[in-house]
Amino acid sequence: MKARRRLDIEFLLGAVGLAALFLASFLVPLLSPFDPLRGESSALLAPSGEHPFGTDNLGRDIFVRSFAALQLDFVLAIIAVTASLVIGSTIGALMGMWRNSWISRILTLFVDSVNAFPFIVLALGIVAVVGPSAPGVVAAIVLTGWARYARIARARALVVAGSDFVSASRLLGFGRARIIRRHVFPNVYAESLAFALSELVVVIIMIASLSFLGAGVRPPTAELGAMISEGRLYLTTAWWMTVIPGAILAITALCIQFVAEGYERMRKDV
Amino acid sequence: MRVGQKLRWALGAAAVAALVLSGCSTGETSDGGNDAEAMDLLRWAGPGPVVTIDGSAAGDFTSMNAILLTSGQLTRFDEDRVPQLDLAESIELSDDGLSATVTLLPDLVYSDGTPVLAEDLQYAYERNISGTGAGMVASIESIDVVDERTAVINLKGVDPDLLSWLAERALQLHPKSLIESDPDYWSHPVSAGPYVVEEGWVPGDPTFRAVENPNYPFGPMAAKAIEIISVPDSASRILQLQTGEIDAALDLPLSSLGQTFPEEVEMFYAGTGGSNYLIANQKLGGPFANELVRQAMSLAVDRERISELAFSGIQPASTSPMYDCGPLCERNLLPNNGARDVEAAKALMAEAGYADGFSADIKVSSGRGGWQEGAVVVAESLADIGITLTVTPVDEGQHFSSITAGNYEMFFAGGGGHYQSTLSQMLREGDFWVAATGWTPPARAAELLAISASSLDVDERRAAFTEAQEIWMEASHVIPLVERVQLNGTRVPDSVFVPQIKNDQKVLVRTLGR
Amino acid sequence: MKRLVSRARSNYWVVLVVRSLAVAFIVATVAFSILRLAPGDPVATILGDQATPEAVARLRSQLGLDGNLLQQYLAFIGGLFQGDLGVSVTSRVPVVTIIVNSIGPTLALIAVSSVIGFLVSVPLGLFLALRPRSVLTKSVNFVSTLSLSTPGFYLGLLALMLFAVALGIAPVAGYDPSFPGMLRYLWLPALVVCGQLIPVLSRVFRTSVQRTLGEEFTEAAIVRGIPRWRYYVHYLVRPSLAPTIALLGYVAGQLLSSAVMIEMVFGFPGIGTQLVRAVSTRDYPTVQGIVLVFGVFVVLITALSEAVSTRIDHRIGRETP
Repeated sequence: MKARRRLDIEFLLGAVGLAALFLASFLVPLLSPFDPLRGESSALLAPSGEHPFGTDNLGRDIFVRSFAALQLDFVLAIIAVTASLVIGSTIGALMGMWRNSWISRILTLFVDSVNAFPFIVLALGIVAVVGPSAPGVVAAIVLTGWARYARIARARALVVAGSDFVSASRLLGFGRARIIRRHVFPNVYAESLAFALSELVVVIIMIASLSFLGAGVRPPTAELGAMISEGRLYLTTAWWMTVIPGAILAITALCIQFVAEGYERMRKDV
Repeated sequence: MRVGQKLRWALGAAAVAALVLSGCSTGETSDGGNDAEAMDLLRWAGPGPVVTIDGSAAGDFTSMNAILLTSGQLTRFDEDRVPQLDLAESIELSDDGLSATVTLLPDLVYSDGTPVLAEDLQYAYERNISGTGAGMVASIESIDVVDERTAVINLKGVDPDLLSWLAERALQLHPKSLIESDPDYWSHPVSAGPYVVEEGWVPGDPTFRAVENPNYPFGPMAAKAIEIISVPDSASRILQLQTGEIDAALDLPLSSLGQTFPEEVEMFYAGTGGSNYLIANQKLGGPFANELVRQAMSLAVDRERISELAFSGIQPASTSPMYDCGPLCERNLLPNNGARDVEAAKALMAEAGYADGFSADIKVSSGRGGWQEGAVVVAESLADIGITLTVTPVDEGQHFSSITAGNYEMFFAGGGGHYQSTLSQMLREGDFWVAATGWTPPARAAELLAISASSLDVDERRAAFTEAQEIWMEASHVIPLVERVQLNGTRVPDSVFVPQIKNDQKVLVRTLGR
Repeated sequence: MKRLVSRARSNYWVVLVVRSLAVAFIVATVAFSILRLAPGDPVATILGDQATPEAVARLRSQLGLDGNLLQQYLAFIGGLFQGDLGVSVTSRVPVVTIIVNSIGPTLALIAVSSVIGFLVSVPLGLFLALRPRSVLTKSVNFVSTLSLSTPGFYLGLLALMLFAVALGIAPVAGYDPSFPGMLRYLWLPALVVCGQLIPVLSRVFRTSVQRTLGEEFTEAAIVRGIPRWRYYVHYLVRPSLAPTIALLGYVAGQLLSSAVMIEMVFGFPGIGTQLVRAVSTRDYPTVQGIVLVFGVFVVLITALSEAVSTRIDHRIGRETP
């Protein structure tokens, strides 16, 4: 009994925090008098009543900029995770179903290769091809991330494919496609979804990391990683440029992590 | 008669000036601290590692500076970028100006005791004809060895900048015998210059260390050893400067001026010998190929604002097409001295038939500090005369290839280098900026280039430079915006180390022996 | 002949090696193709405004960039067999030299981080498994999650601000290849990497210990009254290590990724710095070489950790991969 309640608190905390941040990321840019893209105040002002998070080196209000950046990160992360989930799981499920053919073996090898790549390395290369941009970042993340989902999906699909009711369905004469659609996919997606939730944190950090390296979204677009990078030049003079966007990123990731872990626990409990 | 005598006078005057100046500076530095004593180790950080000591293979400024400090040279730049005699006892120009007789100082040896021979000069020339520094030796026809201490440089034509070329990397003295016998020579070169590379250095190492060369005739140096470390990340360089981990940091982003630095740190900047340009692709025809439109654009850009918003206010607005290059480059040649004149610009647009303006795409490298902001300011300025520009950043790897491939409508670019090369790039058929913009230079341009390159008369050269710039302004195929500047920070007084020679990116370590 | 092949097929090691080589080959091919697809020309970038048509042609052939894509690819593969990774386009230094020179600091960082991480994660995981309800456990869990949620580069920046700038007990940037000088430059970045490493490793180990706790042989040991330390080490730690070590392969990939970020924050001249530089200057051979090395490294570590973990834990039988 006591254990159950403890879990709920963490999940609740995360969910509430996340909801608040999500809401803020849309409301703050809407309601703030300042423009996140253009500098209208003096540069490098310390946090104050007018500018709760201070201003950056171009005179932009960091408060509105941070939440505009958060909005972008949410949108990009959700798109990237969804795309990876769908593409990866589909390929993985198919691989699991046709496990004995040489296509599957080659695909497995390919999946292993993609997983072997350190993300940054591949992402830098991809961004070099398509240029630093929001779509580029999403493409880089999806292209490096789908393999992880494929692995999970394949493992699940293998189990399901060997299961009794699938064999029974085959015996009864149901077509392969129908079996896949009705039995394999739902099973596979459920487990992948849990993984996807925890991946959300990783993806948000990946987006920020790429932008930090200068390979993500382009200036003057507000992005938390890019803001941290811009702030590095002023580390000793204007610490708020670096510390605050990073804190927001960390808190957001923390909330997502709490939600993901709580969901995982609740799923297992049931 | 007159030409040879003039050069000898010039050299003599320069030598006297150098003596006087050095006398003045040693006098000045006798204020507190260890001025007679040398620093033990002078460390500075730059954006990249030292890649090679071989002048014929070097391409980046860090390597070039390392080469200059660890190699013997006939002449050497002082802090005003005036070449002074170094290992050459004398350089006498013939009367027709087509050959120069070089006599090395007596009893000159390398750091390991190997004697310095005139054949080493000839060998250096031969190695550099097809190297990356080919432009430095382009005016030389051949070098003949007369005896162990004497050589004759035969020129293709009169070259008023000969002493400057000798001070650049390309004709560094390294022993021919050792280079030929040791295929790995450049990993552990000897030196006839102020410093010698320390044992154990590997090309490309992030740390480059060199110790004082006891056989350098003009030592001891103000620092007994130097260390160049590669810190590609400018934010780290700034931090190191602030915490005192390094003595100087080169090539800092201009925006760091907004920072506070401890009192011991002096930030200063000087021109690098280059400017930012606005170019239009004439091969596309339309407004880009129209001279009046381009002149209008030149009148409409707000140069002050570009400097202020994109370059922390320290890159001066261009007042002439050429950047400031000393006595040859006349200032304030641009119409209205480069200041903005929207009305005149509009009039020109109307005359050209583009009263309603047009829209275009302007590309800019995304990897260079301030350039993107500069392009944005250009777009804003030109909007006032009806030109709507969309700023399209391209990453650094595509920057030059887009320009050379003509893959642009308008470009916010930049260039620089030796003033003679820059002028040539702007006005010679087939040279870089002429080809990049698709402009056809008139015949007079070639004539002026020849005069500017070969006349020993400063006034005649200056007149040629000025007239060449007038042709350039008329065509406005390359619109100068602001002059480029390098920002450096240093913790040591300039009696020891000068992080940037005026209008050049070369460093200077002082010698106590002159 | 057929018997040889089928015997080879069933031999664990042979299959492992062949599979690793295949993956490495695919990695190399991908590395080669990616950058070639990127727009931008390294020759133009190097020569800049010194680019005359002759200079461009000369440099292009000097760098082996003439010839069509297939020729270049074959040359690349051919070079691989000779241990030649080509020459850097920007500095003319052989890529092998660049990698050898720059991989030292990165490996040192990974090694120190792994050692510290391991030494902390094992007792920590043990503690978390044995005392799941204590307040300390809850706080450790929270700090763990917080650490995981904080991006590595941000953590590094905070650490830098605190220890290097404010307190001055760590250098801001740079490296010293000599031992023990290198430790001065390594300790702070290693701590930051551990901030990402320890939460993961300790949790995996904790789960593993929990599983082992439920096994029959451990219960039997408790009943038999085995002395405490022997109990911990032989019955809990050793068997539970296997999954943790197996995880090292995955972790190695992550470590390399984070190395790139950490190197940038700490001005650390490792292979990550070289990679970022090479990508932005379109230095194809260097990017190819580094990507290949990264890929091979991860594959090797994965294979090695799989092998080690099967040795340690006699419960896990040998599988045919």
